[in-house]
Amino acid sequence: MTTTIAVPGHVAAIAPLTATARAASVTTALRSVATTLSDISEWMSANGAPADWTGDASTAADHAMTQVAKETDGARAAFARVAVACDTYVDRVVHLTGVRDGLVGRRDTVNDEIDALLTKIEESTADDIASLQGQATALQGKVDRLVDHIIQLWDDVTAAEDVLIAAFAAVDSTSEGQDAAARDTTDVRALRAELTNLGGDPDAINAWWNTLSAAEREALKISDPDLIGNTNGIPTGDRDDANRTSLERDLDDLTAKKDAHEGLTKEEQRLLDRAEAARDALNIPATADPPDTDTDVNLIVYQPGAFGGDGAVAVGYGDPDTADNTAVIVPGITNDASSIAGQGDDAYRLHQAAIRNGESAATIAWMGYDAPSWNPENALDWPGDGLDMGSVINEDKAEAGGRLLADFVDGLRATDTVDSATGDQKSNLSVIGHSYGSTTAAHAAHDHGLNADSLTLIGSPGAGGDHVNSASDLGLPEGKVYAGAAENDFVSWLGRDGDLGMGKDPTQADFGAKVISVDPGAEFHADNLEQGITNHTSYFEPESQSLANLTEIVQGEEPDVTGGRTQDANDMAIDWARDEAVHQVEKEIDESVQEAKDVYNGGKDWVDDRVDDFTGLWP
Amino acid sequence: MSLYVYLAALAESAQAWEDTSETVRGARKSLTDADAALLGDRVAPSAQDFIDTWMTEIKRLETAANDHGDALRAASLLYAQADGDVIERSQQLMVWTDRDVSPMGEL
Amino acid sequence: MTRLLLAVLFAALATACAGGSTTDPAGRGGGDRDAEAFKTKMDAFVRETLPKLQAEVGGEWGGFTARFYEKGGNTGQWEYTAGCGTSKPPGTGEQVLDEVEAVLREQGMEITRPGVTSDISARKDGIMVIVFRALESDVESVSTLKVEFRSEDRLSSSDDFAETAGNTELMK
Repeated sequence: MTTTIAVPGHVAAIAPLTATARAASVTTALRSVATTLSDISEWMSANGAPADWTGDASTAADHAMTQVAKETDGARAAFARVAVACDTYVDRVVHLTGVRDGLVGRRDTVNDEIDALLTKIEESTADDIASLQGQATALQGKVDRLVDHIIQLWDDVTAAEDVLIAAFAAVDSTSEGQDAAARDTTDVRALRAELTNLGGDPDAINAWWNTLSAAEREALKISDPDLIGNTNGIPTGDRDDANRTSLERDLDDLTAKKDAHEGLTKEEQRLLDRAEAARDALNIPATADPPDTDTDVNLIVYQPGAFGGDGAVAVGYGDPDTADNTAVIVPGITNDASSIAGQGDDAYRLHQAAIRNGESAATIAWMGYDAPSWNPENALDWPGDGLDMGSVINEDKAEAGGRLLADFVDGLRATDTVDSATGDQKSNLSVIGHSYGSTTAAHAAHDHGLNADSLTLIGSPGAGGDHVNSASDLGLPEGKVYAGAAENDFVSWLGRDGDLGMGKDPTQADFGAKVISVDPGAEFHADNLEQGITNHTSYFEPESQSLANLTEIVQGEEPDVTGGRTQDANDMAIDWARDEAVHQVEKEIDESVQEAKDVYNGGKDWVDDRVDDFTGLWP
Repeated sequence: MSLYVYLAALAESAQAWEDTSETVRGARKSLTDADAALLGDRVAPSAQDFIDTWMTEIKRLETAANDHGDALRAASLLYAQADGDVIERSQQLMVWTDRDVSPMGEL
Repeated sequence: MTRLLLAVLFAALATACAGGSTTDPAGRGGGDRDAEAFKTKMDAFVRETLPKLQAEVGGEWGGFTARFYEKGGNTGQWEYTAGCGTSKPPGTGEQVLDEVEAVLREQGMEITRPGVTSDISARKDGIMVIVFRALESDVESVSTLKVEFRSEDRLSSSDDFAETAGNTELMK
């Protein structure tokens, strides 16, 4: 007798969506065009016939600027309309791609189970029939549910596509653009004034922003991307939208000029350098194809012309508004906005380490202050990339930067998701200051009440001024000031009070910070100072003790702590100089001996040659 | 002589049109770089129709702005030449000591 | 004395930074630390290794972009790195890591499993491979696997090569 067991067939492969997260670049392009058209329309309106013109209508109609104002406003409205729709669509695509990935995993599992059941059936006996039929029925149920979900996925994809298609079709002629502009009643100037009147209070700004309609927010992002993108209290995603618009505008303006062989001025070239660096920092997780779509990358500050052209840029890996853990990394000497990609690389590495076990994290490379920068290739370029480094020997920039950092962190607090159970902000927020950035962060803490959960000072030349005598003076929660320094990091030997110091060395045992373990770095000599630089810039290296400890801190855990230094920081510098003097003298002696030998050998060879010559004369 | 201020205004407007043309060129590049295909197979044709329509309009705006700038520069040149001729002829006819007088004083 | 020493140290820092664009790399560690020589070596290694990884681990992998980063600001010290990943590869976290380790071992790399900031760390001839796996909320299956190839030591570039190299697509 033959018994038939109905085993479901394999579930067919699930095709990938034909749109990917990279479609976000289309949204940015559409919004950037809208911004440019908005700028032109606003300027032309201001210089065209006034709205209350009572003279001959044809005079106003024939006036070119008045006419262009109207035309560009129509185009602006069309682009604004599709930018919003495209933004929503890309969000749906990202979500549905995640759904599809989950279904692919389920399909693999179900198909494996089908294969396993078929194998079992082949090896079965009559006694197994009932059990196998039960398993086949259960498996069929699983397959049916999976297929239903796959059908639902494609229905959702189609629905999202239809909405965007309709949006494009609604404004794909100039007359439809004009109609859209006529219907647009958003008073951008009034909104801008409302924002300005809030006086920079991030909580008030966030509350106000949340009262706006989606259309009003979009209108502001298009009309004033530089303002919206860099205002603390505006949600991170909206800042990112606005700043990417500005970035795209700068890149396109300047590269178009370059492509036309018109030549860039020095200022334009500096602007382009910083814009390209910001773009590179944003692309760090996206360099793979398919990109790392799990990491939400945000351009949180973009002011490429700030600080006399050094620029201000902050790039976040992960969304600080929703992440469980947020870290702000403050870089130090030799950095400006042109080096944001390198800083981003460190921040992204920390991000990857901080999410390994299913946690959510956002790490932000914050070049939002005017660090003493240095570009050796332009050492004599003044004003420019050159001699800014001289300012590292005082704290002026750290003091000014401290206020900016504290304001930035206040903005993150204002936009952070509130835990509904406790009423507190959700994110554990860490500030990590490196090098001169640690002095800046210490000033933010001492002078401006930095609203962070922890503060970590690494490779620090000083913990911020003569008024900070111990960790408790920094105003952080008890036990939440950390410090770390490589033994051979010469910048960490500079901590001292007084006119040439930037404050105490925070790794001193009596300072009271928790001192984290850090790899010592290799010894270096004056003729190999690059090793010294390496020691100072290796705190985020893969597999380093410092990266492991920074990860723990970012996750709100306790790092591996050692006793602090008991030798004064400056004494370490003096010891190094003393040892170095001995080393150089010994080296000099060695070299002198070698030179004498060389001279002797050279002379002997010469004499030998001459003897040979003379010998030849008297056979 | 009275055209002196007028010419400056012409130059200013010409510069504004040229700047506008340059700015629109940046927008055109943004739109050129927008890859409709990234939006997926079904959406791409609609997106491309939109892009094509507005690309034409943006190019028209760019060209028009450039042409307006050129027209003002050309007019400015004509006026400057005419103004120069008039000044020279006038100076020949004026009292010697008043030849370089202007409403703002000596030029 | 201290004041003088600090000034000297800052001057030294500036000089050392400038060295990144002016020093002959051959004088500081040989060809391995020269950005261009290292890039040639690592690109070849990645092109050989990545297909094997893809075949072993499964999942949907795409392109692989490599580029230079200047470390710690404008220091003249460079790192060459290339990273990519795959979403939801089949198998548990441990199975996936074992598969990756087998491939890297076959390529002659020395392997460690640090488990703190990354899951696998492998080294060979100055090339370092770092592997991260991020887990799903079930703490068993893998949401993403990321593999990064990079220079183990800092690189120098006497001729602006690193600064102007741009991106290299290693799988296209």
